[in-house]
Amino acid sequence: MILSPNRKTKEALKTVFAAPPPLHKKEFLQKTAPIPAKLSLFSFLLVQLRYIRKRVWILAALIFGFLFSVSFILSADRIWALSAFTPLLALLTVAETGRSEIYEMAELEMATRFSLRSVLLARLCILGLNNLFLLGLLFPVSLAGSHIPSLRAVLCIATPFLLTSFACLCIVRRRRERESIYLCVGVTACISFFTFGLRLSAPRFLSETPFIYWLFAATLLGIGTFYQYHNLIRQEELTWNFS
Amino acid sequence: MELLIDRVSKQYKNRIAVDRVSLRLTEGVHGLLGENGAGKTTLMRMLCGILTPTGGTISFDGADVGEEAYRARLGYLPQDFGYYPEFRADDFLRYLSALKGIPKKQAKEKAAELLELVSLSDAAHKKIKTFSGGMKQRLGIAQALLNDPDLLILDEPTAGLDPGERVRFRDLIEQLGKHSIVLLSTHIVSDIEHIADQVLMMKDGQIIYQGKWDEKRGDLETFYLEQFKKQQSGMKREAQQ
Amino acid sequence: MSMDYTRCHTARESALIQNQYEKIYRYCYFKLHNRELAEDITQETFLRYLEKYRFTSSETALKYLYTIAGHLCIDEFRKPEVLSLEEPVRKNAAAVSGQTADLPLSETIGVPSKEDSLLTALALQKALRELTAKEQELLLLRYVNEVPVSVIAKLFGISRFALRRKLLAATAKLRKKLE
Repeated sequence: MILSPNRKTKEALKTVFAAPPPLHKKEFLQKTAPIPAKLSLFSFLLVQLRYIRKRVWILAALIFGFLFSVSFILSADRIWALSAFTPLLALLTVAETGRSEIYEMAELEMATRFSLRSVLLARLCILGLNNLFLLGLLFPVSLAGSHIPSLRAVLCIATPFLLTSFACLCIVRRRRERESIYLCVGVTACISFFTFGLRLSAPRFLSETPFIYWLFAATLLGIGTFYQYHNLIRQEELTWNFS
Repeated sequence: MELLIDRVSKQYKNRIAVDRVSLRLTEGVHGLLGENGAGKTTLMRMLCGILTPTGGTISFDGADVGEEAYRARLGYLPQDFGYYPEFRADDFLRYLSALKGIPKKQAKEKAAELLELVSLSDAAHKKIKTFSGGMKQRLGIAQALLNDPDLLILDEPTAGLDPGERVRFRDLIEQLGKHSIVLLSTHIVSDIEHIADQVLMMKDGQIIYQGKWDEKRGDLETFYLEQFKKQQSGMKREAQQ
Repeated sequence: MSMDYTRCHTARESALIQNQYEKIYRYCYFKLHNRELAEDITQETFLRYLEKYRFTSSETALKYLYTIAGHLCIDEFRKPEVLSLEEPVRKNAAAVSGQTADLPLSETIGVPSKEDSLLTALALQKALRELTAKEQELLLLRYVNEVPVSVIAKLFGISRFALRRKLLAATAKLRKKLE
């Protein structure tokens, strides 16, 4: 006894029961499609803003306060002070942006809908804006009373900042461990102290080194930093190839 | 529901981690057996869009792995995952919910529901730092379920679980397999013996066996070892020719 | 018919509509034998489903879809004829109410590729007409729409065992008529 219709019969059944094709399927699908929960960029940034640790803001404020008071005290050496201590802001930015790598949340974040990239980009934007804001406040104060022309001053401050960013990013990207944060702190401290030491041993370094050297250094480091951030955000498989 | 894996490969400079794997998976529990280094994790990462294949395509109901539509229906539990140290269990779930695009209110409810499901309700407000390995793993399973995934990829999900937890976990997976595609990898045969609708065996980047499994076929463990021997002798014969 | 469009909540629901639209449509067409109406009711079925049911089991979803569609078709049959429709409404009344059928299944059979399959289809159509509407529905659900046995059993309110018997009977009857 044959239990179910054979293939030929099934095909024939399909033919017999066939209905003329529906006319409005595509339209219906479009009209009922789930509202793409594309959080607007703004909402997404707000969400990420909430998740940036409070201590980051506190630290940034402290650094700012420190820099501000220092620039009042050292009337003549404000630019030096800024040079020496803005690396701290750079450290903070890299550490917070690179949190996912350091704490190994990256893999989880990558498999989500919005993915790690958006997260990193958002963090970077938020912190970057914050840094610009703080420096923007400090800068006019420090410039007043300084004999260093403003463009040079900008480069003098930017160079150690970029150097720190670049160095820390390299560390964070190569070594996905919690220890890398300590290494970053160490590197930042070295850069800061070195800059500060330079002030003591060669006080005219800032004003007398040829402008072109500053420009060159800053540009090179700027490109390097940008490249590193870019790769961090794009999540180059560098970090995943080691498994 | 259909996950189509078409001749997917992953090649690194000096070795091939995944070698032309082709699979078609539908609803149910699919167990992926293999030793460490067989390529299971690499394959799973490709299925989650974390690694890009060097060859082949992956699609789920027509959506390619790179599309947001694919990831929106995906839940993933990696082999080893970290967490931001200050996070408590509910923070962790809420954070990942935000990344999965789940609105706040819904996320809160879902997090509570899932914590209960994995028996972590009591620990909701405790820092993950204080969790045991088994608790952390259960939390990981919870986060994978946040967005009601139709495709669930679990990499060694039973690692660190004690026997009691293992049993509860098996029941949960069985339930989930009824209405979604679950792919779970392990090197412990007993994990999947009774719940897998299909067993896949992987060695050196290739799928060496794919088929249904039921008790009538005898002991899975023995079969597993046999398959490995078969593959090895097959390769020896090839080398000799 | 209200056409305020409810939205899907998840991608899974979208996929469900994508996969089941034509099948539900085919089912409604079988009952109502009117293209426009069948599609309207198909869409209404999905909208109602989206509004009330958000079950995760795909089997439950199918059960609800066919139940809603079935009820809507019955309601439709109870309505007076609407004269403004393009196609004359030739409702598959028997199919709706479950009595013995004496009805054309479809005016035009879809075009099969080979001549002998056309002959088979014609013979089949003739044979099918001699089955009851319920038997036809069963064959449609099982072999054309490929609805799982457990779902059909729930739809008909009978056990899986009883369902298998009915399927066998229907198939046997069909086979007999073909000879």
